[in-house]
Amino acid sequence: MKREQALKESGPTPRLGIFLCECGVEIAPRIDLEVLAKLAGGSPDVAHVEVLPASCLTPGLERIQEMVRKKGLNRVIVAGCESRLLHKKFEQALAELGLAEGQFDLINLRDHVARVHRGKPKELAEKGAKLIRASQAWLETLQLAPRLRIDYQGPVMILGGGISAYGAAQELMEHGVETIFARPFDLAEEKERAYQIFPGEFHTYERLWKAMDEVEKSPLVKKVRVGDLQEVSGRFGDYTVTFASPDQEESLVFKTGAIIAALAWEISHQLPEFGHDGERVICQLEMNDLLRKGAHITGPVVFWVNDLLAGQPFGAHLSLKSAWHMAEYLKENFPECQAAILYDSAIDIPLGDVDFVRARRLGIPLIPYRGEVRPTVRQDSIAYERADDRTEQELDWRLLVLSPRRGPGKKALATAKILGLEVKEEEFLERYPQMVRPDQVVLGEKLMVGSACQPCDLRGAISQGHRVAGKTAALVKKAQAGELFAPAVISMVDQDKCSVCTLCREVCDCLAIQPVSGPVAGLGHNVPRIVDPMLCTGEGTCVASCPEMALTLTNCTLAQHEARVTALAQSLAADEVMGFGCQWSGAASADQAGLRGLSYSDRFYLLPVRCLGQIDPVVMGRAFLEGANGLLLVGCNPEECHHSHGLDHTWSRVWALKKLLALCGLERDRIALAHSDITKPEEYVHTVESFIRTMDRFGPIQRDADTQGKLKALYDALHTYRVRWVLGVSLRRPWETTYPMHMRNPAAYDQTLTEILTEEFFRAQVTNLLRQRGRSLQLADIAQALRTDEERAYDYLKDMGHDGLVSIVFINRTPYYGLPFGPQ
Amino acid sequence: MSSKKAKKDDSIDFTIDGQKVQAREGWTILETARANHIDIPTLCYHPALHPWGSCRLCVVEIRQDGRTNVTASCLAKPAAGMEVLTRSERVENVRRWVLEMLLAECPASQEIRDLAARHGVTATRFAITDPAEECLKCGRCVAVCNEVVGVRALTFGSRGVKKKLETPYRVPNNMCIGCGCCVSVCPTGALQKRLDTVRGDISRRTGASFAH
Repeated sequence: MKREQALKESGPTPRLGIFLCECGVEIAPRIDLEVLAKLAGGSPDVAHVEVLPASCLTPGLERIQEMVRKKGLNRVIVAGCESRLLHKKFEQALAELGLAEGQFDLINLRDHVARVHRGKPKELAEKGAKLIRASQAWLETLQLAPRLRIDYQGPVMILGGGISAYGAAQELMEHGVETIFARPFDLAEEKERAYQIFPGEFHTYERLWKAMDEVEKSPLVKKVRVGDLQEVSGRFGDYTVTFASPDQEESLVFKTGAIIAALAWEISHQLPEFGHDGERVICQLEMNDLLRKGAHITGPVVFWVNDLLAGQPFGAHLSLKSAWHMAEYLKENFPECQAAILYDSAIDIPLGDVDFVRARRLGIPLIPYRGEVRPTVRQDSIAYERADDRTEQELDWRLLVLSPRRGPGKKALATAKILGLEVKEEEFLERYPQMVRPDQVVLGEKLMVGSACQPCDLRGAISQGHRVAGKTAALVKKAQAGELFAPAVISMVDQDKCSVCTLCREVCDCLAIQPVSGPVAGLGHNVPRIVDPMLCTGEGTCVASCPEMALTLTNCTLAQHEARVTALAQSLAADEVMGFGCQWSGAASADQAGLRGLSYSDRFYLLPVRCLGQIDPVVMGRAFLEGANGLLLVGCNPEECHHSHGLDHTWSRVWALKKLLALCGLERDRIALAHSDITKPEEYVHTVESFIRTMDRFGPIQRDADTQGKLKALYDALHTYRVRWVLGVSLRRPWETTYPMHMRNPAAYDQTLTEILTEEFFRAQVTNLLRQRGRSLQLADIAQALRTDEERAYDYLKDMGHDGLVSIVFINRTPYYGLPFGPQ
Repeated sequence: MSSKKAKKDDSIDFTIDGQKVQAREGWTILETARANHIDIPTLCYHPALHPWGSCRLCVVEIRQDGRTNVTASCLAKPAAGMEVLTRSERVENVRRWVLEMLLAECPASQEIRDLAARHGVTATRFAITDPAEECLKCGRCVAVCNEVVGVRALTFGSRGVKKKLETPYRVPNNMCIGCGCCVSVCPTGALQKRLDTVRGDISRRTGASFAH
């Protein structure tokens, strides 16, 4: 009944074309395609079914295009091979005919059925038909949301104090893009900052001065003096950035189209435990100052690159490089001064052959020591263990130069926080490039850049700026030409339903969920309500987490998921099971199993999804309600989700489902979460077969009226705010470090979750019972119908009455419980 | 194939192994053959990618206007009146050479051994430099990362006989998004074993470690 409703609302009637691919000899002899064509063509919405020798080659594509045109098809299913690889090709071919992403589906019949199962061709055809029917339900329920065109207004703003800003500004100038340079621009001060942030980079300073000069003179770059960053809101193409005013007056508000935050690290003196005293034992910062001022330095000078011992391994090669530059500079200007560089032999020397020759010529020894034996600083010498012969050596020194300490810096962290990133002190801001589409605005690449993000030397900072600005400029040009569109699958917030719990913002790692600027009546200031389409990766964990169910994933809605799961669950035989696999690991491993020619049972039906996090617990409940006897979810390894921890959120949801299944009197293991990796398809096969064996042991669910009633209550309970909220805020596993929330006591949480689920389950059961009976009931009736003791039922019913979920009417001093009065 | 209405683009009539086939503008000989259930073996060809033409396994002999030519069918476009032979003596000869060279290039690959055996090649006269090598440098992984994914995380390093599959600086590449498309297109499973040298450690997400 839901499907018909959805169909009526979806606009033009879906006209589906199904193309079955023979795939050379891969699919055709193994699956009886004639039978499959007959089975698939059975439904009323199917306007065309055809068998093609090779649907992905030009002849096949042209044929599909011809049929789309001829028969006015607006939905296409191609049952062939890999979706991940061929999706783009089909998208381009069908886009010419006006079909958008979301209107077609590729089913991997080859790797999920033909190459891996040993059944008879007719039997495999039946399996194929069920998978096609499920995809059909998905496409029919689609309400096509057109891709948003991204408008771009205003210049690119470069904020933050990092040196990469100059690289970015240079690049943007080259592309002729208007820029705002938001920082106090005093050339002398900026040069001094460069010396402080990147000591010892004598080869590269000139390049930076040139860049600064160009930026100062350019009319394209507007320079503004600002104070601290206060607020950023909006989306790519239309940001509102607020700064404090430097003169303590009103805040300064700017409208920009894109933001590049150039964030520099902070360099500080080395830890005192290494003997730093600022006179004889100094660090590279002070050495740089001495060299610049032309102080006369008598040797011997020893540069000790001690980053590894100081617990900063990433800084090792950077310190070594700057030590080398400083030693070089020193010897060039004071040839009689002795200089040596002492470094841990575990460091990869970042010097080229030319540098070694120069070192020999200038007389600068590069001495490796064994890191396991910590060098000891004495009055006039430093003792170390020489790497090649393990003998203790001494190196004389008059001036000992230690490595500096590097950290992300408070200012950088503060800016990153305002931009929406969860920051930890002392942790650099680099994030795994969460690129799941080539044209995506990636957090680290376009928004934040610089040495606070990815530690680098001066050249690295400048080129980081160039790289980011290059991509930004390309996007800006595209947007200005009206050709920049958001992807087809992104999150959208229904602002009427949203109650601003901000859970979606916590869940989202893409920084896509942004606050609307200004206060929202009744809800406060800085309300996260809009999704930046350019940053959203279309994963959907936010959607499946929202307690109010106020978010939707365009072209990939909950209704579609439920329709697909219903169609498949209803079609399965008693000994068949179903499951989900994400396109990064579960479905990818299934693809790989087919490619490697592995073999396993055909009783498992896999539905691919982009990320497991997209699967609303409601969908899992619906599967069981509509006929699934077992549900297996296969995803990436823990904490390795390619999106925003979707896999890890799924863990909590599966946990909740297990508890609910137990409340229904069913085995907890009927739902299971598994992990897989594309490089180990044999493990995936093993997982699937093991799950099938477990389901065989349990047997199919006995679907009497009582069990079905319980499953309905399970399904309803998963819609409630309370259950969804407690699932959303949980840390997925107590030991996880990559999620900002904190679960102090997992055992206590377990108990709380059980209590909440039990209560909501009961509530759903009562509501369904009252609806079914059509009249008010006494306590005894309810307790008996639900097979629970009266005392417990009484407590729950009392709370339900408080919350307005039942009406309690006393007749002859006996309470009668009924559906609540008034609109429901 | 179904009926073709000759509109602006007339069909190109030619023969493959004596069988009359029709193609349209933009089709290659390989695509036309597959659309007509004629089998031509391929190795570096993948429908998701632009044809590369490096493996030379898909060669066919083309006879036209009294000249013959052995060329890669994945790249060659048909012309009217061509005679294409997929199993002539010259073609079989080229295939034998290619397969023998492949057996020396990647002797550890079972898929290549099976492919060679299907064409009657079981031994090779060439020297085997690395008996454990499985990668045949067909270039599919590089192409898919470039064309389909758009990331360009891996590439060919060194040249000539030393050519191998590498990431820049031979360290796991920050740009790799870990999609595994390269693993999916690899014909031998060589990349499946080596994927961790490309994608590195996903714990980089937390900023705790760096690949320099």
